[in-house]
Amino acid sequence: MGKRVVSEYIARVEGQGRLEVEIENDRLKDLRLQIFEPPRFFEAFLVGRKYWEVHEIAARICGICPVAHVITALRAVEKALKIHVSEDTILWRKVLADSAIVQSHALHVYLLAAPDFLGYHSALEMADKFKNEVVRGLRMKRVANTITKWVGGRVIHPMAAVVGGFTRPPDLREKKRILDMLKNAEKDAVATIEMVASFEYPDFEVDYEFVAIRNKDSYAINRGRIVSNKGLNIEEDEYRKFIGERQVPYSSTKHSYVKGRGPFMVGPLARFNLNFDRLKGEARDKAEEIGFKPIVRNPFKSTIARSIEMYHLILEMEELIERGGEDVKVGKVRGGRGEGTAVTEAPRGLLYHAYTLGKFGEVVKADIVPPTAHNYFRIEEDLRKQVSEIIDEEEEEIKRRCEMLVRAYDPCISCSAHFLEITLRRR
Amino acid sequence: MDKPKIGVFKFTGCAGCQMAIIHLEERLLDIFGGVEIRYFKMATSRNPGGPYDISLIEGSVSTPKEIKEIKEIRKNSRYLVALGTCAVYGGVQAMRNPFKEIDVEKKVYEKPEYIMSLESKGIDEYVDVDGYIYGCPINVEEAVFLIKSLLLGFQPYYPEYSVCVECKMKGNECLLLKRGEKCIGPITRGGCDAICTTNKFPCQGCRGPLYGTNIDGLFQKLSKMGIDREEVINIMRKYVNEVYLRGEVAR
Repeated sequence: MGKRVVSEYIARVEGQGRLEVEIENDRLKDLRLQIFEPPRFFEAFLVGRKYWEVHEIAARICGICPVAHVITALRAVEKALKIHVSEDTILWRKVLADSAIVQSHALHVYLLAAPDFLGYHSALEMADKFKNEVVRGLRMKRVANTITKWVGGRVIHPMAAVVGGFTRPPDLREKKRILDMLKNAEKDAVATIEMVASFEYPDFEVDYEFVAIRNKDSYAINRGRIVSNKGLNIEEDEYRKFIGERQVPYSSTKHSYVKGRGPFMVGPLARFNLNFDRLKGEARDKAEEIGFKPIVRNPFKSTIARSIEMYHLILEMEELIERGGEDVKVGKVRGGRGEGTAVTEAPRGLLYHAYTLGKFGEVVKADIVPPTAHNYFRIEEDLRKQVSEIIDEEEEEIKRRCEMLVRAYDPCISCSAHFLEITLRRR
Repeated sequence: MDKPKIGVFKFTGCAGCQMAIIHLEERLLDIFGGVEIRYFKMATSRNPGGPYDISLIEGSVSTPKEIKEIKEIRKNSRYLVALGTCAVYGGVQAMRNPFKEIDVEKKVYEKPEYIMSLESKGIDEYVDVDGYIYGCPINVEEAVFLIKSLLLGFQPYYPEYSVCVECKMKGNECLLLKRGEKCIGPITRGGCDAICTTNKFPCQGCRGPLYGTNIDGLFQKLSKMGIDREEVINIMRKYVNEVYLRGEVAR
């Protein structure tokens, strides 16, 4: 019996992708996650641009996580030019990154993922019955965005962070108001954890290689060693020695893998599992209270990891903002030859930028790997396993579960795709 | 009266301009409460489709598939609005336009034969456009104003002056004259509330050129500061390369 099921485009993900599943005689025959987001060729047109505008252009890779691209590009360029930045610059960049992650997570938890668990098409439709929840999500987003704007000048493509420091420090007269807002947001963060803990998650586990950055004194976001639960422990400069990339014929995104092993997972669940001991005490306690402890191997539960991270990052921002000063002035900066690599944690996971600069500080070579590219191979393997496990289910259920699984990774497909269309063929 | 039907579409871009709409936060519920969302992939999985009273297009057209899609949306829309610099001019990815396609693809992908893309263009290269919202990213207040105007049947009014006017009204110190920075605010379309220069970052021209400004005067001023013409043109081309490639502004 031949059967063919085509679903409409999956919504509530950022990117154009298409999933094709072929089932023959109750066995999975073929599965392809095709990303057909039109490629934009950043690595090509960055060539020839000047060192001072690299981060500004790189921000445009993604309208959801521009902050991560800005900070990563700045660090890579600063390394290439051997520029050292002040303690305050490092601190405010951390606040900037933290606020952007909270914003992105609030968006994902409330607007993209929650409708799956509560049985709606969108948060807007949810708003009738779950008004408090939706408003809470939007409020958390607003608090986070207020901070991004305060430090970075704008939420989307912030311009105040530049090579060597900031164009100006944040207006410290606002400190108290911002701290009060964060204090209030703690309650929302706890309520979020309780809400997502009450959702029902599909039974599904994978023995992942989790990859994230880690450092001694804090939950690593902007800098750290690259580590995994399967023995990876390297400097960011060694990234290319250990992480490979290959093109797949049906997609504009490449497959990443740990050399000699295979696919890996990056993102909130990887960070949570590898850096649980670096979370703020209150966030760690809350995680334990709801029975959420490493190692969590269920990708659907990334949503819980996001909510724990939001609580942690809100607490961390309070502490950082409390001691942040105004010493962010850019010193003498001159363009010249050099090479620099930086790896950070974007909301969706490991982000890699590397640049080679020429005589005048112009880009000679650019190499960028966003988190969704890191996860892409892994998502495909997960889908294979998931489909095999529920192969007897109705087409609709298989489709729903696959969509949910893709969404659990919160793919940011402008960093690679825009809608996800699923085709399921059963023979 | 039926609620006006709105579609939000993404083409080649970063999703930042539709994020600007989502970032309206609590206001989002008010504004979207007054309209019927017929298509907004990023926000909802219920997308019944056209016809639309207003279609907001984010991103540039850069593949044969997108040419077909934009024409289809045009047919189904009463008003078609280009939302942001990608949709208006082609965006930063238009920097690649003068390169040979295959060279660009080789730089990023080892096997470019699998990838198919065209030059990155603004949507009015292929269809008629009723409204333009400039900026990378947009100033979302301009988008809200445009939607309200179209719905109420008013011709929306957008000031025709350069970034300098708003920058001066803010009382900012001039980055070009006082600090010697490469600011092209004098020749760039205003309406952004001078957000970059107010944050002490020189204007990079993301909203495109304002016609009739004294470009030669800017070249002369910058050249006295030791910044050559080629470098200034490179800045001008960053967001709106097509405009310069078409020779609409003095090279």
